[in-house]
Amino acid sequence: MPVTSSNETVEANGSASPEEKAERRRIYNDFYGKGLGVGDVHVYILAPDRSSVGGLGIGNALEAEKMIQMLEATAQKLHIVGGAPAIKPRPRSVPPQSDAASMVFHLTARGNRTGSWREFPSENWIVLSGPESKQLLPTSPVALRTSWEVPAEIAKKFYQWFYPQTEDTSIVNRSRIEQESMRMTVVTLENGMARARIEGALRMKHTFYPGRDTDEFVSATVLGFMDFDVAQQRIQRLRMVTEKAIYGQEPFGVALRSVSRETLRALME
Amino acid sequence: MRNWVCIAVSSTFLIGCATAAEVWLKDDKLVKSVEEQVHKLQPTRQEKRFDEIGWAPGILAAEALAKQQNRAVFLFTYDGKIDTGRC
Repeated sequence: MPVTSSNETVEANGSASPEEKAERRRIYNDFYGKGLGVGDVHVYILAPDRSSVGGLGIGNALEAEKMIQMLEATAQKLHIVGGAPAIKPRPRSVPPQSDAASMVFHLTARGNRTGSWREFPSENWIVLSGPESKQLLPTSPVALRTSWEVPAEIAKKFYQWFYPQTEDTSIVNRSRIEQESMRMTVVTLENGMARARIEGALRMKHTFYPGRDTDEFVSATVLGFMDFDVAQQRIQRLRMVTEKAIYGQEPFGVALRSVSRETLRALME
Repeated sequence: MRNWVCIAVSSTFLIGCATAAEVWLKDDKLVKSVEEQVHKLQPTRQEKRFDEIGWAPGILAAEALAKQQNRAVFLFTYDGKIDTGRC
């Protein structure tokens, strides 16, 4: 039975239930007491009766051969017979609950380096409430070349996640925006629909590790578009990508896209 | 007379559907180039193989199912949010 457990959820103020926290503690203490190896980032194997069997530190767990060898040895030792998953697999990265008036955005970020922190892209789900998403729209009458600046507090909701994969042990965002702009300009106007070109720039401090005051900065330019219904003041779709983006010395890319209600429903099923 | 009523009702329905249909602007050079970049940056199927595993919702649930189905528990502990790669 595969299961993951985030260290933050089992801390004193973590979101896990007291019973879950107690069980995590029991497993840790039992492994420690039996000298089976423990760690914050670690694989623990338990028998069907919850007794401790063995584990792997993250260094070894990253080596597929060692992981497979350990799992096969465990299955043999415990006489485990293979079978279909007991729980139906489903996507782990899912959008948060949101009301019908709000807009949900999905962000993907990936650095150009390889190795640790770069095996998988980072994702974020960003929700703008109904009134917040309206602030993306122009306040003056819409005509070709109408141009407006997105309020900084709304742009920040997106920009604060414009950084590649870093050590993130908490859901609290530690980015500090020093300069930002997000300008929209109407480039197409047809049948009551408008397309705005999005051009933006960002300079932001984001330390690689939390709790360390190192000088690591994001510098990026952004390009995108937003299609909207002029009369109904309804955003149909929004996309943004980084054009030139550097974190420290490393180029990286970010893609932001609005997610339709239909797609959200499908993801939540 | 009945046929005329049916035609009138159907026509009204079809006009309603056509009115309700969403209008989309044609993709231009800007849209195509941005969408191409968006697509390039999305997680690949290979990067989402993690989702092919039927993860239990918690340790206690995993242990209960393991006992019921005579399976071992594979517990992975970590910092941050592994679901989104922000960890």
